[in-house]
Amino acid sequence: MGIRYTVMIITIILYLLWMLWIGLRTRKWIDGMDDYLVAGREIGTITLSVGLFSIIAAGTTYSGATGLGYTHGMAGAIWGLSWATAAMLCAIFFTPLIRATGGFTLPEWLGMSYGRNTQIITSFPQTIGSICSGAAQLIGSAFILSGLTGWSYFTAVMVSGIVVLIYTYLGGLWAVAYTELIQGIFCIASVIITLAYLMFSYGSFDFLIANLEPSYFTYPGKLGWGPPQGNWALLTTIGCIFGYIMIVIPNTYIWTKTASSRSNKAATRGFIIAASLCVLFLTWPIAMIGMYGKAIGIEVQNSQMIFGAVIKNLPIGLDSIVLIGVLSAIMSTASGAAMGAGASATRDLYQTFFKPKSTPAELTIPSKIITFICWLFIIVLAIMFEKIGTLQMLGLSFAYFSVTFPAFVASFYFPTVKKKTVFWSVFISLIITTIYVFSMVWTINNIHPMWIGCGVSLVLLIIIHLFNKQELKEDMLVDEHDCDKIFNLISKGRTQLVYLIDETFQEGKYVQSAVDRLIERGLVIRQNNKGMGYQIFSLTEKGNEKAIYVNDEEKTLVAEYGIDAHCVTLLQRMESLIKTEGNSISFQNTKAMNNLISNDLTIKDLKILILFMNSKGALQLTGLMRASFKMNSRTKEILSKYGDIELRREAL
Amino acid sequence: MIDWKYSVIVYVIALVVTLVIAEKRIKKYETH
Repeated sequence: MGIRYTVMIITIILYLLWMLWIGLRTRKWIDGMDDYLVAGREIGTITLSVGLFSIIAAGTTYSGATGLGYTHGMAGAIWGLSWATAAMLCAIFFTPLIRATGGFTLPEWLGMSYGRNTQIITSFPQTIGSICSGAAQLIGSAFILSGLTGWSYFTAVMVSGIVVLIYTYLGGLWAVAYTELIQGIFCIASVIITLAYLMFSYGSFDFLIANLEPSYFTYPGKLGWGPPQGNWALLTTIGCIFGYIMIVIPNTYIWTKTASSRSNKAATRGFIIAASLCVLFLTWPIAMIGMYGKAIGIEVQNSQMIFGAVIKNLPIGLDSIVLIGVLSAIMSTASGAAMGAGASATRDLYQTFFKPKSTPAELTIPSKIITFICWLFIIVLAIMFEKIGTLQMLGLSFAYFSVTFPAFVASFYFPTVKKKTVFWSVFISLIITTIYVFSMVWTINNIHPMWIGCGVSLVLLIIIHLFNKQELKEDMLVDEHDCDKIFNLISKGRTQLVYLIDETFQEGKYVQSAVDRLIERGLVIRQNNKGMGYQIFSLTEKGNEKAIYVNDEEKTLVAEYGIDAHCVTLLQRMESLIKTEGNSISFQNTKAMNNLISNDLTIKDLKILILFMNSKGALQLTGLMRASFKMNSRTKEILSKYGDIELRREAL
Repeated sequence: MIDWKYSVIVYVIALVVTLVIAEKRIKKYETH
């Protein structure tokens, strides 16, 4: 106990201090609510993918997947495979659309599609679901910490809880993204180290074949396929895949992560790389750790304790690294849940009710305070519901997220569904699901609440849709001046909501309403009435006649490259500056950034324009954490063709 | 019951198919 205990405690303290340092460092990067909640939309592919991976690498994955490996063999891989399935589906059907909406949270988008009341009502299941998911992780981390260090459950909750609280409060999504990157690497290391040690000590695959029943190497083995055979629990093949689709796709934190990515491309690739990492490390390898536990002959009271029991056999030092991997897995998922809850409560409740016209800077402090309060809730829940356990607490979050799933799919792919239909289906199913989960009937009849949450919501949505023929009138008033401003932006290449929301600093609902007005007037048209095409606008003939350009060249510039003359002027100034600064300029290089701003272009405007030009391919963003921009071949092409556009305007 | 190795093959194929579809979509909407 002596040396092993000391090394473990020192490692944990160093790790926690590192996390706090990240919180302090990223605090300086916050310059408005958008930085706090979506990291200024600066997150790149690698950071996003490792971050997403570290979310699935939760405490419940370590205990659940190794536990399944221990009892069912290779079928335990279904835990990670289900998450990977959800991530792949998301990458194809939802990620690009989510990024294009510009919404910070999922309820915000539902508010943009179905009105203010729907935004408010959906923010409840999202916030409750996130808080339950965070509490489940905190309970898991406390069990592992107290089991390995001898601390009391309360001390363990407070230690990991307060560290997450501090760094999340200080740096918001920036701190969470930064810590997730490091945590994801530790998670990968922990699986590799544990499996390599077991293979090295006991022998490779032949050892498992010799010591385990043949059913351990078949699929689904004893696990079973699921609902067609009447088993509605989470731990069946179909149950697990459905459950992860419910907890990944209609989850406001996953939405916020997608919204924080640099571009559509970064977001989509991020999800696919995360799914690949998950398939590589959290499927058969993590199930094999449980299988080794069984083959060695380790006896545990509950199969979910097998990972902890295996760690205890590791040599001094290695066990500490693996423990840090497990702690990382838990803290990343928990801090993500806190951010999801905080983002939804701030954007969908606080801003909607109290400060609809605020600037991002004015909302920084409220975002911090609300996220802080959400995390305090998580700590209190974890302390109060120690006996409920992680899986039941996680079950609540599955149930609450699943309530919004039918509305989420409808908002992107079924344009005929009306506002009132969505509001009432979510409202009634929220009440029914709450009664169902708190009656705890599901622990007796074994029908997991996620089936009730999604099922009731879907049935209600279909029934109300069939009978509801009246469209609820949206009462949001749009200022004429803002309508003109948005029309002008669309004519200058801002063809997705995300560009309009960022450049106008307005709420999503407001911008969406302004676009709807322009469509009603026949000035703007959507490419399609559903899917990705719905998210892309263009001008109609009437709109083209009304649009004002500095000259004809700007019109062809917008048509050809999707950017306007103002962007080209900026690119010219960047070109000469990049030559003096080296190959690229970082967003953190305040001296260079200050050279690019002017009286009518603040640093924030500049960053938004750079992100916009990156999305249009006119610039390239690099950098693991904070973005740096550099020229690419398309930039050079634009400058060679349109470099003198401003000079010609002056000549005119 | 199937051999676990088939589940590996199924997921590798699924990942490749996802990557191809996603890249096509990225390309389609790249400049919008």
